[in-house]
Amino acid sequence: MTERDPTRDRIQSWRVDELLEKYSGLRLVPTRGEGLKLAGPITFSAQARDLQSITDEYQVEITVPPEFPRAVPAVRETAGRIPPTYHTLADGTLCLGSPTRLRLIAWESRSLSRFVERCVIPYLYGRSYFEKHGVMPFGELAHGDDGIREDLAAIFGVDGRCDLDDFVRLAAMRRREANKQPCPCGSGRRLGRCHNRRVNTLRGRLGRQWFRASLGWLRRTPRTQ
Amino acid sequence: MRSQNPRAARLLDLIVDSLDIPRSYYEKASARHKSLGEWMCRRESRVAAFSPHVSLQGSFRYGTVNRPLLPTDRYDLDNLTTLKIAKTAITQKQLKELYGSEVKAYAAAHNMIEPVEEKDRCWRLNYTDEVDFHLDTLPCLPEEEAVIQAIMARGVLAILAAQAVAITDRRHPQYDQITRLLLSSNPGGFATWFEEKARAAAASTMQRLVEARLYASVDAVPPYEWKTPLQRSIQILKRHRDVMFRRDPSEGPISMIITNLATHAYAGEGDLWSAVANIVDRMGEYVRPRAPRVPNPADPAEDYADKWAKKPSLEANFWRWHTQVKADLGRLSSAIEQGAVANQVRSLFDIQLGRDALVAFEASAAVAPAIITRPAPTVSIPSAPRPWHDRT
Repeated sequence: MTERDPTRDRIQSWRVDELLEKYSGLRLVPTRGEGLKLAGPITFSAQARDLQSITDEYQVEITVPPEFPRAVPAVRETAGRIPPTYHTLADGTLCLGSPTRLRLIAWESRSLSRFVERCVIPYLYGRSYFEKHGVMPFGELAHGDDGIREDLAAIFGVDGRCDLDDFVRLAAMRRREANKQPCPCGSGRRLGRCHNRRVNTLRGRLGRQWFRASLGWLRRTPRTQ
Repeated sequence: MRSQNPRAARLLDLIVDSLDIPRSYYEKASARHKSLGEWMCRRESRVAAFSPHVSLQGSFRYGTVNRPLLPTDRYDLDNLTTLKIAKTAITQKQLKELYGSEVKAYAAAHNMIEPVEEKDRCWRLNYTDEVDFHLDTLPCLPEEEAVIQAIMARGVLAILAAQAVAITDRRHPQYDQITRLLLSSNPGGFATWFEEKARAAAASTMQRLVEARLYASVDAVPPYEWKTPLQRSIQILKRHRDVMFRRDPSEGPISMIITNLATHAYAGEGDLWSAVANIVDRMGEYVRPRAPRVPNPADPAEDYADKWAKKPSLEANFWRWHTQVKADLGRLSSAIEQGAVANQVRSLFDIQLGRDALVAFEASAAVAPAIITRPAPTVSIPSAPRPWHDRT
């Protein structure tokens, strides 16, 4: 008994045909591994809110892990236009956003062209905008750990009055157990009757393990600001 | 079903024209193969008593040979020599060596510089003159009647099943023992099946050649003379594969898989564009979900994709290639509309279309194409993740 080839299924469910049709310079690169690798120019014309429209082209290499959309593609710019001092990770890949934010977008996108549209094009647009005007159109997160904390708080909708760690701790618990706990917003109600939707949705999308790891990280990493 | 697109068909024809080898190469290949056959049948030959029957196989037989991607690559020529000996009368090793001694004698008598190489199943003769070939010549025995009956019981026509042969393989556990359990193969049956599928589209060409008295009968016309859209499609697909896998050729789908699936998918389309486009649309349906994944239609137990089970990257890369070639046909068609053919042909097929060919192609447009660049996809960004930096 043979199952259908996983790569064939991934190509279909990630809608690779749509991506290749929209970005007609991108090509699938043969590999000996699982997942997919695409390389070539990405040409786009993009506009954000009331900002100017920009048409531009970047040479990129996108490595899609077999676990997508439960894991995030890694993107590199290959023509040396984006310097390492701009938003890149230590391994040279582009830092498209905070890890939790990217995982959420990957999960919501499902298709690769959606992911490219929601994460890669905005990043490249931002870079082009920065080259022209010297400012970042969407702002930027603080560097390092503070940035992750800041974005995680935004994802949970946590403001200064309540504790981010408590929300993350509840997302790391089983749903039934978490719902019985007091809501970290300080309302005095249990989570099940208060902010349960926000926490449960995030847990449903990224899984308890992700938040357990995030919690561990938050506890080890003291706030610097 | 894709509709006809005369301009795209014309462009694909130009591409195949530049992939095609000169007819003299086919003739040369055919002459070398015949010369080896005559050597086997000469009176002093140690195999003459076993009525050697030598038949051409592979892309030279099907008429699907491409010019190699690199000038240093050699042309592969394959043939099969059947010796009428019972399986129970000889070991695989004895057969391979008996045949090998004649192949070596042939190389010596023809002053061939490079030594004859022994491969797992065949002997390789290296020709180095104006056209560099290697000829892989495979000794085999006629298959036993019971085996042929078993193949027919699987629904294979007698005319195909009867061509099954038993081959030798150095890796076989009973290589130097008498055994009935030789590996079975049927390249001849596959070739007949292929020729029948292609022939339907070639009737008028063959008739013309016979009327011009170039051949005695329709049956005498070799496939490379009646090139149909099927053969030309296979050439396009193989070239696309060669370019895509140029950095790691061993990961690309083998020619026999492409030939097999394309032949299944070919429905007699008369123009090259609809042939290639429809073949690509349908060929994936002929990959079976379980072994044999890509069976020889002349012997379903023979699986051209037998390596996929042990090395899953081969199958993954088949699907990557299939997805890419499908997208590239769309890109080629857009390039025609945009008048940007030369670049696209160079990047997809590594072919530099000559100025004359391009001029002729552009002139074939009823209306000169407007130079429009395809608009880049427009993305509106309602919100965006804020970029971050992992180093403080």
